[in-house]
Amino acid sequence: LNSHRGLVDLPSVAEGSLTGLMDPIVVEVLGPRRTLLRAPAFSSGGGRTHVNRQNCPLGRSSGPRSHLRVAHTSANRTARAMDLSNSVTRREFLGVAASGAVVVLAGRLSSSVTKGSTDWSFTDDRGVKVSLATQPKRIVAYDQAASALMNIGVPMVGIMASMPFGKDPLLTGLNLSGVAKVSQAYGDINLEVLAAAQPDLIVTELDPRLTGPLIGFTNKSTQDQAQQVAPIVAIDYYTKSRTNFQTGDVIAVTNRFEQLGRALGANLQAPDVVAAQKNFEQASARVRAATAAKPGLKVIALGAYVGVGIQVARPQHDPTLLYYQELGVDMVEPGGSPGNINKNYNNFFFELLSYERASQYPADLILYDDTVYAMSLQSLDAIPTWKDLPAVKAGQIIPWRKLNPFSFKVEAVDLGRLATAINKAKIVT
Amino acid sequence: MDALRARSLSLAQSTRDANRTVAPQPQPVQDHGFVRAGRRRMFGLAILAVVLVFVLLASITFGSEHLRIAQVYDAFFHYNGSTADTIVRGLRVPRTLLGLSVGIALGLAGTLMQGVTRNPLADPGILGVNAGAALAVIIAARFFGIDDPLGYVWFAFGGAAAASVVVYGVASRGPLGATPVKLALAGAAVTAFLAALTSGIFLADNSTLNVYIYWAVGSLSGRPASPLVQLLPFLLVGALVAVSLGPGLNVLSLGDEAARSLGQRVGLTRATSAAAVVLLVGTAVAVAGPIAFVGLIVPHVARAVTGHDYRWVLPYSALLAPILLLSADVIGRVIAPPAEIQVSVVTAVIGTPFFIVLIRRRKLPQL
Repeated sequence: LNSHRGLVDLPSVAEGSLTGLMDPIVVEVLGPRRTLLRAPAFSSGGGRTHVNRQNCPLGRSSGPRSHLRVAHTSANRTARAMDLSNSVTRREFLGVAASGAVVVLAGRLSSSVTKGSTDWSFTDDRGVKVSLATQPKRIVAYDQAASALMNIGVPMVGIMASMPFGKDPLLTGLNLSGVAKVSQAYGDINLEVLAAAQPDLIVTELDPRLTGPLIGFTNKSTQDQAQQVAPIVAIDYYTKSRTNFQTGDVIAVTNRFEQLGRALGANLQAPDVVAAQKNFEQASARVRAATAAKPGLKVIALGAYVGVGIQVARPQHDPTLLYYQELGVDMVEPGGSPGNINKNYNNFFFELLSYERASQYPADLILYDDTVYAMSLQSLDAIPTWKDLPAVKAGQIIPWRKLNPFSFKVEAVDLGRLATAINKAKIVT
Repeated sequence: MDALRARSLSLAQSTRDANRTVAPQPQPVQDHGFVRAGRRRMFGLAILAVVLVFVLLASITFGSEHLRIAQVYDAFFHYNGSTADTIVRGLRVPRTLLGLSVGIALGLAGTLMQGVTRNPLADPGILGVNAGAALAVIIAARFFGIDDPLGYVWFAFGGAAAASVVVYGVASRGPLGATPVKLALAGAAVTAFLAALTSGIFLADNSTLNVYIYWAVGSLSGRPASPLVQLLPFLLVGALVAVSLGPGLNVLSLGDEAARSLGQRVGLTRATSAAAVVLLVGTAVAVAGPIAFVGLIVPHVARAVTGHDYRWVLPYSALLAPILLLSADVIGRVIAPPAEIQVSVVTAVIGTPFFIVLIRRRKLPQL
């Protein structure tokens, strides 16, 4: 899912180190603006109200935007990135000063300002409508969004990856030549690289907790500085129910990314996109058939981490695993309450087991975390309770993309692998 | 100060006793007192040994997976490869031995450091051991792509050793050699420098994050046993050297001048102690990550029990430290089932209040 869950509090460590850098003035100024942005989007109970970006003090109206585009040479942008703290504070200040007036006038102004001045707009899952003079061509995206978009033919000029490009499983198989490395660790945004990439649009995801910054950012001030470089579109995977944190399955989330992709010029009728969709359906059918032929076969998704223990995924909170369940796969549901996502983020997605409890949930097939954060299967050999697991003894382990790729092309490959593994697996529990 | 004076008096007394070859009049009262004190301390050691055995048994018996005593017994005497047997033999026994070794190492090293630097707040980290090990681990991850505990354990040990050599080398420059103050200053400076390098690499390339962060959480859980086996000889040598340094530390605690005038080779004692600390803490930090507070607290507890004689403080520390460490580990295992709390977190929770009390006490023990 979003990449920082399950990394065992890594982000909070990073966050801790970064929040110290936040300018207190900026933080203070952020308050009213966020309320302005968020309030209409989530107080309207399900139906999404579109907040026109022109209403929000920081949003660039399309008029000034085109003006700005002429003015901003790359050198000029880089200079801006280097002098962000000053300019942001000043802009924010002006923005807030203007916000009172904007709130009052919002209803009347929005229609008149929007009319005729924009050719492209997209309303994201926060309810923020991003309007630009032309269709954005230069896109920077968080790695998960980037893989979703690149796999349907939307090129990237930069990627905010949550690990080094070479190690990020979401980026394998993608053409990354000339793509700027905006971050290579979660939230470690290089604003200069971002500015130098001259994006028209930044694409990321909505953090389910809503209180913090968007996915890919570890603090709001960085997000805000990125916002100065280009407007941000955030996609939400809680398509079923935001209030109950019910994620949509992988199809629902991928479809949402495809909507965005279409708006960004992707041709969903292109032969390879159509083929990928077809492969996905065929692979799904294979999994369905394989599962039906192996009643009683239990599948578990987990990762093991040095000195911490084993995290068993809760399938209800993972779009891909949820989809496996829909295909009839008997996914192990760990116990314990998912609890409050705002209080214990990891526990919402996983149950953490000590190594002594490795055999708590009997399973015949293990889907194992493929990120660099998990212990290698080789080093897990040193843990006897792991080695004794029936599925491990039988060699019934396949990689699991803990970071979901919202791409039919990639999911088709994974589904094919799962179908093969289920066909081959023996029931060992 | 009183204790110090009393000690130097008794020392002078014993020197006089030894020189008094003519007319060896027996002094039954004094001898009797000395023997009785020794017996009492021996008895104390025996009690601690018994407590340690109980803690070892508890560490094997209790864990996040609830096992009955009978199951634990069977794992040893009627082994049949059941899950309980695997947990006891495969996880709890190695983990307990790891805790025992690391505890002994930290306890002895903490006592040595406080004795050598005559600084009641010294912990083994003062020689830059932890900082050196951390830098080495992050270098192993960043530049050699080593992210496996089996691979980076030697880096950690090497880094710990190299950092201490540098600290000691810097501190020994100048006329008086490695004085306590110079050791503390050099240690702080080198630690700051190494920490800066570590953060530099860390910030430049966060891919090292996972390796470093898991290593940096001091924990006895899920650590493979083979690094300990590989490094055990170093630990044993370090422990033997440490225990043999008791008399030397006693003389050293009179101050450098007094120690020299009593014929003590101050520099040699210091260097030997530093070498023992490197062997002990280098091993501990390499196999279990940095575990704070044990090395700091235990010598104080030992001194409170047995007085200032390092011949006793050292063995007391060697028993008290694994008792503390393993108790903390058992607590960490049982308070959050089915998960666990890392031992370093528990020792920090226990250690912090103790540390505050320690530094707020009007009279720190004069070392």
